[in-house]
Amino acid sequence: MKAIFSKTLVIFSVIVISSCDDYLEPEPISFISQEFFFADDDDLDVGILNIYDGLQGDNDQQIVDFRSTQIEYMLTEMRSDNARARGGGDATSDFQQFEVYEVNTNNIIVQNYYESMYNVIFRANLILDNLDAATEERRGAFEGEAKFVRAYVYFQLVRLFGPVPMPLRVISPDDDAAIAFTRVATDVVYAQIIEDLQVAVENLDNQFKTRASKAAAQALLAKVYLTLAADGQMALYEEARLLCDEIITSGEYELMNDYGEIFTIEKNDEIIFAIDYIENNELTSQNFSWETSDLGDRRLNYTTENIRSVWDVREETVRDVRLASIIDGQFMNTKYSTNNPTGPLQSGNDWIVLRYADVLLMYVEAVLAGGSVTNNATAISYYDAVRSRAGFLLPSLSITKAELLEERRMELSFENQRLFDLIRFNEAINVLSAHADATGGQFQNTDLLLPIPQNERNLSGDFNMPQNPGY
Amino acid sequence: MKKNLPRFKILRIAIGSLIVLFGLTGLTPDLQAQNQVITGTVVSEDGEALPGVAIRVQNTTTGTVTDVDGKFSIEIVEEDAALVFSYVGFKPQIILVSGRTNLNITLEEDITQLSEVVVIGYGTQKKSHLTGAISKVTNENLEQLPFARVDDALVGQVSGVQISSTSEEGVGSDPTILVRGVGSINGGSGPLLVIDGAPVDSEFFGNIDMNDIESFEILKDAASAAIFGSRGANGVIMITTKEGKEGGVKFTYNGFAGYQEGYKSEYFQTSINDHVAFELANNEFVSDGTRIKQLLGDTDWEDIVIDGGYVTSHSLSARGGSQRTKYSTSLSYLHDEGVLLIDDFKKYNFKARVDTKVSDKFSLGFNINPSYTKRRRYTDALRQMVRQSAPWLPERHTARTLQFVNSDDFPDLQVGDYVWQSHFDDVTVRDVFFDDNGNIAGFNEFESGSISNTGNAGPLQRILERETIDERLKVYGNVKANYKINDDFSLKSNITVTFQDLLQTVYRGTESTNFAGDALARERNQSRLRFVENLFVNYSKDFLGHEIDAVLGVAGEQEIDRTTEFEGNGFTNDDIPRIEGATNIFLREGYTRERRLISFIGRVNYAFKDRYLASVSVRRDGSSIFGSNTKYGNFPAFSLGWRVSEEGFLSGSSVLSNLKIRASYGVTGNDNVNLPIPVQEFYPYLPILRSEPTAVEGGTAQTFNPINIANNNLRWERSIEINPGIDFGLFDNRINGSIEYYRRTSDDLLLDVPVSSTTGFTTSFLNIGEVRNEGIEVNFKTFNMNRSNFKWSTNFIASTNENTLTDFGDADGTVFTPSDGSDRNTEWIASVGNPISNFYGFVYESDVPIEFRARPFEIIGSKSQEVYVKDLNGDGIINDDDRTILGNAYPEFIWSITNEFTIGRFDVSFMFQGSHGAETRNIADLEGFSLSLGANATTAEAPRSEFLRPRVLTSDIIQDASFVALRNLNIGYTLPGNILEQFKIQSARVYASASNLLYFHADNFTGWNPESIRQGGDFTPITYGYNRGGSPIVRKVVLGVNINF
Repeated sequence: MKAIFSKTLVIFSVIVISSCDDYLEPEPISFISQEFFFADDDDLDVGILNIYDGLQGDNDQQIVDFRSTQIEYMLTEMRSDNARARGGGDATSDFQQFEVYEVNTNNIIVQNYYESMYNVIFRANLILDNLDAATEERRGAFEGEAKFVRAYVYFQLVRLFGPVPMPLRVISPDDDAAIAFTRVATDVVYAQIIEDLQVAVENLDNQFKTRASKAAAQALLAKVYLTLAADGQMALYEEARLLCDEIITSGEYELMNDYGEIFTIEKNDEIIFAIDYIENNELTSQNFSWETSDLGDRRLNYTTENIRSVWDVREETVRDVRLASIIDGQFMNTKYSTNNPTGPLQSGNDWIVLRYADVLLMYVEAVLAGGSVTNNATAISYYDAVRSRAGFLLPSLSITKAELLEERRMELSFENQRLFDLIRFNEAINVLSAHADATGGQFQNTDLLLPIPQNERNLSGDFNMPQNPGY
Repeated sequence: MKKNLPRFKILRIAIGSLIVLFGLTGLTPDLQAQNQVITGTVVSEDGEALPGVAIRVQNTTTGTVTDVDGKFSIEIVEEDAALVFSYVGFKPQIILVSGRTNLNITLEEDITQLSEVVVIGYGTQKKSHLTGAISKVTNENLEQLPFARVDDALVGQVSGVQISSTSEEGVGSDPTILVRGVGSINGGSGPLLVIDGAPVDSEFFGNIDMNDIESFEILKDAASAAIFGSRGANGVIMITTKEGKEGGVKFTYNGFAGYQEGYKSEYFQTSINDHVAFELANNEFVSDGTRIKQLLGDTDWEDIVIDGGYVTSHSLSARGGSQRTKYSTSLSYLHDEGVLLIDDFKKYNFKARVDTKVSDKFSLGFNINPSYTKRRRYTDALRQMVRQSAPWLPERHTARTLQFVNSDDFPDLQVGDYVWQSHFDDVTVRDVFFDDNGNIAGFNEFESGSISNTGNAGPLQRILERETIDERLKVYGNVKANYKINDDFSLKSNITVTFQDLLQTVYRGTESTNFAGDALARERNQSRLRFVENLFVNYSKDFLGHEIDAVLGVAGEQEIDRTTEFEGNGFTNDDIPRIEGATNIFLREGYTRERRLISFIGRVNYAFKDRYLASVSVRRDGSSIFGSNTKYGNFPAFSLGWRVSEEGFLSGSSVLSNLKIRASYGVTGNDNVNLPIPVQEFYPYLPILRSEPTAVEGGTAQTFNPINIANNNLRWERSIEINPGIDFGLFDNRINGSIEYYRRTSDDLLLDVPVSSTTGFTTSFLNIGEVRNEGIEVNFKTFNMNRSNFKWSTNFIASTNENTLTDFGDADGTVFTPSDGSDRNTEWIASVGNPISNFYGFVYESDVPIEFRARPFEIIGSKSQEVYVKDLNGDGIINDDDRTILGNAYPEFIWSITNEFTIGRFDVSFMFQGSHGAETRNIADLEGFSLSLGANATTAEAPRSEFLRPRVLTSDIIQDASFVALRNLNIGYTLPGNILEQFKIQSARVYASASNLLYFHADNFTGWNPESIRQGGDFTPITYGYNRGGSPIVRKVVLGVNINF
């Protein structure tokens, strides 16, 4: 009998011992656990791509998944005098509120964009938190790429929402409510953006066009400086000029001869940074090319009468991107006409964030330095390079601030620049009030910022996250 | 890079333990001493021989059972031995041998069955010693109820257990089972199913054959269920299968066949004539469109879709055995055609079980049970059919209907083609009229205009041209070994392997919609392998009035699921209606997931003098589902009982024959995690990176996408329950029953909670909130008559349940808007102090006057889409603040009453069952028959239009879901023995069985089934009670025969 008891005891104890750790942690095979993932450069390589994946957003006809860049035009271009919905302004439609400046605090596009952008920041922070896995020679590049994207996203957020929460590492919903719901002052956000971009400039080279590069970081930093300079930090105009000059004199970028080809030939010599899409795959494509055409459900980003009249007056031929819809004769814009006519829901047109013409015009803006006119020869030569491609061959004698603003409008229409240009040139209130008056909108000065999504404020509990004025 | 883990260590060890036990048997001498043989016969009071009576020499392990003729033979060592005779349903007897060699015993029937033994999880216990809430359902005639699934047959059998046919997909669908209310907000509210001691997945309810089942035991209170630890929180249903009995081979055939029909609702029975009358009454003329509809005919679509069906079942078993080895094998087939147009369910089942005593100390058992089911689902809710059809719409085109088709738009239609409403749009029909002389006097022209209300394909093709077929192969295999160490100790070990292969094929044909390019095929292949290993030591001792029964053991469990799914399209014909026929595969998904459980289990049941009872148990579970901080959980339980009637002061009472007071306390858990991404359910705490392509530099590269936030503190949902109760018997147990109260508090509920998006995500899976279920359960059984030729007993059970959300953290007051795929997104609210799920919306005030309805005849019964609602807060405007709680779908009171009569050779039993207090949000008839646009269609805006809200959001569609049904009626006749003997048949019974012959629902209910509830997708226990028509109540009558030979 004793033998039996002892054998039983052995069996029991073996089972008990075997129950430790490993047994209760079966290794998943169908996915990777992030906790153990970042071990070396290869892992970080894959992780870095995921940041861009976030920036690309999900191709979804609903506004449910993280749409990211794919819906950005609604928050920017459609709040400018360039764009409208085919159905016109409508305070009761989340898609048509923007053009009449009656954006609701529950607007699902605003909420989705806010959520998507923080998802991108999370992805960037995830890499930055795991940089210790990198080898010394790769570490800088990883850091530079992640910080470039993080800076880009915060730059978009701070311009659209004003002070925003600023997590700089992966945060937890339980322990980091203070970070999640504290709106950080804009100068602190800008300081972080500048710091991040400086790291990117130092660590990156120019091998990529749809990933971060040195030139992309320089161009973005130049734009940040111009933004702050316009807000009073005059010394930054010169900093911006130097950055533009560095890109221009590097000789790595040049204007395309054919304006239309900027948008049809991807990763061309003019592109400094674009967001990549590949057609015919739900997971890599975009649908804004579909949604902004008469194929789409909602038919957004149509041209306004305002911009069409400017094209007409200026006799723009090259940069007039209107196209009459076959449905009702209203005018779409063709800048991002789908590159996949047989499956427009899965379009592959890249979204251009920074291109060489923008840098040339930023140089001019830096030279103008808030003044009303310049006759700086270098500035004029860059300005004329952009103009002559558009068919305006007559050399300029000087450039006024108003001319530069309109030139930027013509060159960069429907590229989500107009609203920010107006603000930077301190013309937003004048131009947009006039535009609203003409189109039945309700513009107030406070409409330059979007509302913080009500959902975030509801979740903020005791932190009682403040709303922007006017909402 | 990856560690190669000892995946099946537990399994290997358990197999090893079995081998060791085998080895031990060789060492054990089979002791036999000088013996004396006692023989005899055991009969009942009626003088009928009782086969299978257990006979044991008291205080030894020696025993035998009676054979078919009630005869036995047993060897005893000591002349003064006492023999214990016991048989289920009879009072046990202890007989002193006193030197006799022949004993004729008459056993007395025990109507109270206090001696009955109940399976309690890792052991058994005398029913009279139970201190928790365990209900036993013995399979007496359940196999003669015409149900496709065994859980359907349990309806109304157990107090506190609510089984509702909520499904929309026709025959073979799993019902929703709630034991004492809903205690989880995450969806995992069903009880744990255990077959012969091994936890299995609940789909076995659909695969196991009722003919193989000996009994069900339902562990309701937490003290009883705590022995199943982290999975006991929603109760446990244990199934014990039949084993062979000693004696010659005994064959049993049970078969039935019959017909069934679906319940039809008068609210959908309409004719084109009704509409003509309606138009005449309101307009005083009949519109052109309606005249054309009149020409097309009058089709009863409800009759076409709810088409009835046959049901057939055959089961043959052979059972028998010697003193050492018993066997049981069975084969069965069931075919249930359901009551809907395409639903169908077939089940094939095979089972073989052998139990053998290798020696007096060592016994072994093997059990294998493969089964196969094939089920065709009805994939559209009934509401969809009604929405798409209209009484004037013919099923298929005939030469007559083709005359009225718009041949410009539809030039190629032929006789036999499916009919769409839009086929008849914009046609002109010329009607000749004659003068008094019979000559053509002229023509009337009727313009149909746009008489369709949908451009979709016809309703018939939406049903017939789509198929979803589930083929499920399940195998249950079990090996067990018992070793008796000595009189007190025994060792038990068993291993159970269950395997499932599910192949689900979906095909939507080229004619299933109005666009052939919509055709698609989907295939889902899932395999599930689960191992359960137990090793237990049992200690059992009776001394000086003390009875101790203790068990200590370990259990391990592993489950591996593999799923692949493909979806493809590009069909131009229906010749290969499977994924193989697709020319474009656009979805490929799959996952492998694994979970493991290790448990340490201990329990002591104690009784002193048969009257003072106590039970203590504890289980410690380690689960792979939760993170390192929370992998282990403890689940203690204790209970006490006092059999007052055994005390001296009550003995001899002529009124009170049995009285027991008991109370229990226990803690259980629920690890049933439901998440939108299935692979995540087994690793909910891990931050998951999923492989995804991303565009980069003009190409596509693999990246890993984070989909959630890590939560290492995620833990089990926990339930704590108290359960006091009284068991009683009156008048020599002619009346007996029990009354008990339960109060279960479940906290740490698992919920996907909204979080700040600055975390990178909008929700996070957290433990939050608390819900309480409390109620009273009563059971009464009375033996109204107990004569040998006339017996009548009545069984009444009833239970109440009150469900209250007592804490919901920051999410208190959250309004949920589940999407059903249309724009009818109704609202629910989770609000502390109310049930876990509440219909939310506006309070209906009145309808829009008919003159202001844009399409006055479109909606069934001329209901308008919008109605006036009440301004609840009286602020003069209708806004979100005027919404309120409108009801919930949880019944407050459920009951059943069963009467059983035996009159000579006839037996009759019937059960009424009822449910009260639940509401249903019935949208089935919201958009009914599209009769006409109406000649007086108006665009005039109704007055006070700011007080209008869509009807779907109001109390107008909240209906009373109460019902009373004659669930079962069973009439049998046992053939007299003298006829049967000629055919070598031992016994035979013919029977007729019916379900739902009577069904009463509330007056204001307008659907087909008040129990139907849409579940899955967005619909969770928080958003419970959405009724889209569902599958109708089934009325079924079968004739059957049960033969033993």
